[in-house]
Amino acid sequence: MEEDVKEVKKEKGWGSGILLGLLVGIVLFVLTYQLLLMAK
Amino acid sequence: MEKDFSRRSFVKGMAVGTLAGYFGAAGLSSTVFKSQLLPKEKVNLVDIGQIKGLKIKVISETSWYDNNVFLNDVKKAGGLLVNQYEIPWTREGVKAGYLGDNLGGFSTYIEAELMDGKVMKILLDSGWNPHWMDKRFKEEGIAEKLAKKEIDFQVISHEHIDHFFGIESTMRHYPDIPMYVPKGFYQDGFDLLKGKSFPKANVKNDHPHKGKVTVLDSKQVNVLYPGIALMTFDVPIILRVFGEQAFVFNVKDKGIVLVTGCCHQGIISYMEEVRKKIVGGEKIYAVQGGLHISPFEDWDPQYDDLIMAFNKYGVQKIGCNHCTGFITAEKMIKAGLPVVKGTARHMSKRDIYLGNGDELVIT
Repeated sequence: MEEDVKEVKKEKGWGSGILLGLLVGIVLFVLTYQLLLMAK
Repeated sequence: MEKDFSRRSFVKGMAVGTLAGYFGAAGLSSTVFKSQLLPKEKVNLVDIGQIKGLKIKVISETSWYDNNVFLNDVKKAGGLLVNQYEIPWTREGVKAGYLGDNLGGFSTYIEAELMDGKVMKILLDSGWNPHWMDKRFKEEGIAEKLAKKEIDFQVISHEHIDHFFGIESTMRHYPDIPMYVPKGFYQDGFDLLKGKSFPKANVKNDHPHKGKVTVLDSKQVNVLYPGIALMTFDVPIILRVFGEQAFVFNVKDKGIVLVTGCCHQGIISYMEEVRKKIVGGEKIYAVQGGLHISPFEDWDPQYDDLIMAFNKYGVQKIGCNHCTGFITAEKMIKAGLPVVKGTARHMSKRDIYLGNGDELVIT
């Protein structure tokens, strides 16, 4: 039982990871977009 | 709390989030925010200037007299992709023809008054059957104008039989007339101009051209005189022809007037190009000439869409004829489009549109 609880607890971190990831993804896209525009 | 947090899950979440964020942003920017994010397309509109007025006279719009005979000639020769210089065209025994000859031709005479009052006289195309064209040139005073060198230049819209094979009718009167041909003209065409015969197609030119030939390409709008321009289109055309050019006039207080030979580039594409490239192109006042929609009087439902699309351009006069087709003219009139009526003279079969000898005046 204790191990099962541990497993569930270990899953925590997904939400904040995705949120931060989304932010990073958008910033990355904007950066590449700007770079492409500059390269034109 | 710290202990509950899984670094691995956080990293996994971040990887998923980064991908979703990146592609989500790309998707949004290419759809919803497209117009705000993309740089504006750089289009250098050409100001072709203006003319005071325009007179367009149909010399001949009857290219051949019996569609079945014409189509049979093409079929017997091997189909629509066969070289037009290699096809034995029927020249006799056609009931509906001119003295039994199935061939006629296309030619238009244009007078454009420049802003300084000078009138430019232009001959668009030279027809096909020299006997027919000689007769029409004589009847409309073109032969006399050519002989007196009063016509400033001739434009060949494209190399097709019915627009170009009657070149002798022009050359016999004015062999050094300046000429404009579209890029894509075949060597055969230049050879015919220089006097070569093509016995198989029963075409000859005993009066070689001695004047200047200017080849115009599609890279730019070719402004010939203020208010008078030619646009060339890189289009492959049946019977081994390539390229067509058509006129753009800008008439003061009226707007743009387009004058075509056959319009193989498509009338909608032509009007769109004019809108995109020419100052004042959003106001097309009139269109004159062949619109190439149902030349053989067949009908495809997609032509209905074309007529519907025509409506959005707000054209006020449609002086169509030739390869436009009677069915198209009927449908246009039914759709409320302002098709200019003709008089059905000089072997033009119906008065539904401008025929031989009819005139469209824009001032």
